[in-house]
Amino acid sequence: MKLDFQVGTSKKAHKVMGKLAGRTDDDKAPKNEKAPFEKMSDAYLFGLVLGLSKGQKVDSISNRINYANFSSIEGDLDIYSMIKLFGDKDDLSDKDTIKNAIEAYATWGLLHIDENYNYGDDDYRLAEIFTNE
Amino acid sequence: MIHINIQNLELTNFGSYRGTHKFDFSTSTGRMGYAIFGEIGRGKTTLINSLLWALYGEVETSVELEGRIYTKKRPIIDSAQTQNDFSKKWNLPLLNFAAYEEKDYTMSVSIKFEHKGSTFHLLREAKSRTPRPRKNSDIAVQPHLSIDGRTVSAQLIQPEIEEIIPQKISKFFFVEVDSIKSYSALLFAGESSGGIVEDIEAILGMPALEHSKNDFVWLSEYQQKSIESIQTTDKRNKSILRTLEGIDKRIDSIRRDIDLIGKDIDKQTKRIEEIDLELEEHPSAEEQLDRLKRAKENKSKLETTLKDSYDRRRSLISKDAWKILLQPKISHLSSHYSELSKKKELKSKTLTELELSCNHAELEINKGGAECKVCGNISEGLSKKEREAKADDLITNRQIAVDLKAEIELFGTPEHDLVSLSSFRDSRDSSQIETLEDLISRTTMDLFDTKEKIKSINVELEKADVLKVRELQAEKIACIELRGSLKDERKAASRAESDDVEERVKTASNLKTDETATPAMTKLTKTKKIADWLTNTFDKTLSTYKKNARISVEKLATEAWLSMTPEPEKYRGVKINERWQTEVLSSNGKSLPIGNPGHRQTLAVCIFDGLRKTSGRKFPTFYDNPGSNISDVVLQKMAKHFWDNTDDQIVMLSHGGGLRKQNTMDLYGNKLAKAWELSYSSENTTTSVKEVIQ
Repeated sequence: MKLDFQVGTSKKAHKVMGKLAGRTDDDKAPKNEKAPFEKMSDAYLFGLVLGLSKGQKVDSISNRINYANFSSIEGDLDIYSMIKLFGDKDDLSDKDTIKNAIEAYATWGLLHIDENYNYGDDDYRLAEIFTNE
Repeated sequence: MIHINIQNLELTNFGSYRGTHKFDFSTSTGRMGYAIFGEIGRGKTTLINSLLWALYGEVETSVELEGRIYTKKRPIIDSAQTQNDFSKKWNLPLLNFAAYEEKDYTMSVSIKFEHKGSTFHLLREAKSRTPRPRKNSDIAVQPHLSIDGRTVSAQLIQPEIEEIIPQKISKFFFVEVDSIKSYSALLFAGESSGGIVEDIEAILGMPALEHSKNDFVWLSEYQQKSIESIQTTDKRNKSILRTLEGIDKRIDSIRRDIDLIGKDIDKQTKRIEEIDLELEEHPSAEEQLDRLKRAKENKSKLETTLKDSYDRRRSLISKDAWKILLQPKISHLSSHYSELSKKKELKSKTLTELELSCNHAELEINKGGAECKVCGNISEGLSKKEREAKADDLITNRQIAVDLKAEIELFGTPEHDLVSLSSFRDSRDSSQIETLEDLISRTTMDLFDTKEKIKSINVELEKADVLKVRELQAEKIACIELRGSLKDERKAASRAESDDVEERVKTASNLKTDETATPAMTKLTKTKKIADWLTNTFDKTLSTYKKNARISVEKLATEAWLSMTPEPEKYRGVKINERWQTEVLSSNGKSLPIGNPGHRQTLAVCIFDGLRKTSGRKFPTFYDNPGSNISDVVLQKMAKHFWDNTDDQIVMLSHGGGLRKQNTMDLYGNKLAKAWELSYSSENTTTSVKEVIQ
């Protein structure tokens, strides 16, 4: 089932997503070469899967910012099946719950990365994220 | 005849020698051969350097780079020691590194030797002026000399040493492989190098003879002037005197020029010395620039590695790394769904069996004695009571089947879920990302250190004043070039002066003398004639001496060559021309090409031997690893040549590849006065000295 709706995240997580993709506050500045992701959408997807794999999502999203149509993030993947397999049962009740679940997982994942794997100066070390329970 | 015998040598904290080490050369055997064995780096060359430092207060070192030989003075301490960075350093400090580390800044060399029946004790010591010396100027060097216990005043020490063994000729007695190399190149290059002829004439004592001759030239000229002053009164001489006056003016003018040029040469020499001293104060500037260049190159390499590592990591993480996150959960869910699937299958089987049993019971109830379509049994028919009981069971079983169905429904579709899970399975792990991040962390640290290093070098450089050093170096080169051209100018002026003096002598011979002027004139003419005779005699003697000296060196070098070469029958000997260019003659008298570096070095050693013996100076001679290109056979023959019947102290220092200890001791042990072995001490790389027992 293809998911075709706008997704977003909290203002804070949106900023993290930018940092993870090497964006700085100054649009004219060059991309941060230390960034671990090519694009913001890669970071969003990673955050979402991280939340799903840990079974963690935020309760609510403060200062929500619309980010993109989910189809551009999902690409050829089947995120619906992924949520069905790894998410909560209630996540798939209807279109709204699916959207909310996606945003809640992704937001938790992005904030978790920034809190635990940012070594300062927007230099992230992500290897441990794959081994830490 | 100058004859010197070293009694003992004592070194403290000099080069690789940590603490005090003694070499006792005294012997009652009458033998004069000495051997010092040690692998490369164990302190053999340092031993020679210690003697040079004790005698002249300085040690030079050479390095051959791209075919050119560069020479630098070695400092007592320098920045390399304070910064613990000896990379790219070839003029290493003299003070022992371990001593510096342990804040022991005293270095000294003491030599006791016999000369003219007296005992000379020369001590040169270096002491720090500050608690933590950092540069050479922080060290004070003081020589002490006593002769038979009487102290020689400080300002007379160096002239006294120069009289015994002038620094200029020391290279013929302290023979280092490098100096042999440079000499062998000069001797056979076919160039009339002023430098080498000057050195050779110095060891043969020719400058002193030239000085004496010049005294007589001056005396003759003086007498001539006095004669001419009398002859001026004779009218017949008027026109000749006018010519002489013109020549004299020219000669005076040339001499003034020569004098001025000489002053300019002295000025340039003084300036070169001043620049050298100033450069000593900034010894590290060029090295700092070199370090800065290397640090910047390293920084650039690290930055490239870092960027490359970040790029590779980004590519790995952005491309499906999220799948790795899911793998632990996939494993867990797979087992869970497999279990569910098994349970569901079991329940489904039970349900099928129950449903069959219900169908069979229904048939039995409804059609007594009929054939069951399911199991094929033929019932004989049931009684009413039996049918009622069966119906009750059927009702119960039907309910159980409904409940079982509901239970199965609750299992969902685990078999489908397992298929779905497999689409998210992935075999990669995070090890590549881990390796890259390790590299990133290490490179980041290294880069930080390198940036800090660059900062500190820049701070040092500010102090070192690089521009000043470059200016000084450029000025020094300009001074050396100017001094060279001034010397050429002086030579040309001297030639012009000689021509004018000759012309003057010819012109003056035409002067007529008034007989009435006699007694004074007779006396003056007589004195002049004596001075002229002495000048000519000296000239002839000098010329004969030079020729004889050359023949003597040629003869002695031939003897040495024939005793050192493995096939002496192939050679007639060594030939030296008036410009000290050397060739080797074959047995039939033909000039042979000596292209092999080992042959050239052996030949240079032979010329040195001839020069030393001809000079009549019997000073101890040290051969440090004579010629890295010289074969073992030649080295053995060389040792035999030097140690056989010598009445000068001959010390040969040898590494394992040349004169091997055991072999040398077996062959020549009975000719040697003493032998030592140098090695590293057990704790570190400082020299340890052990006398070899014969």
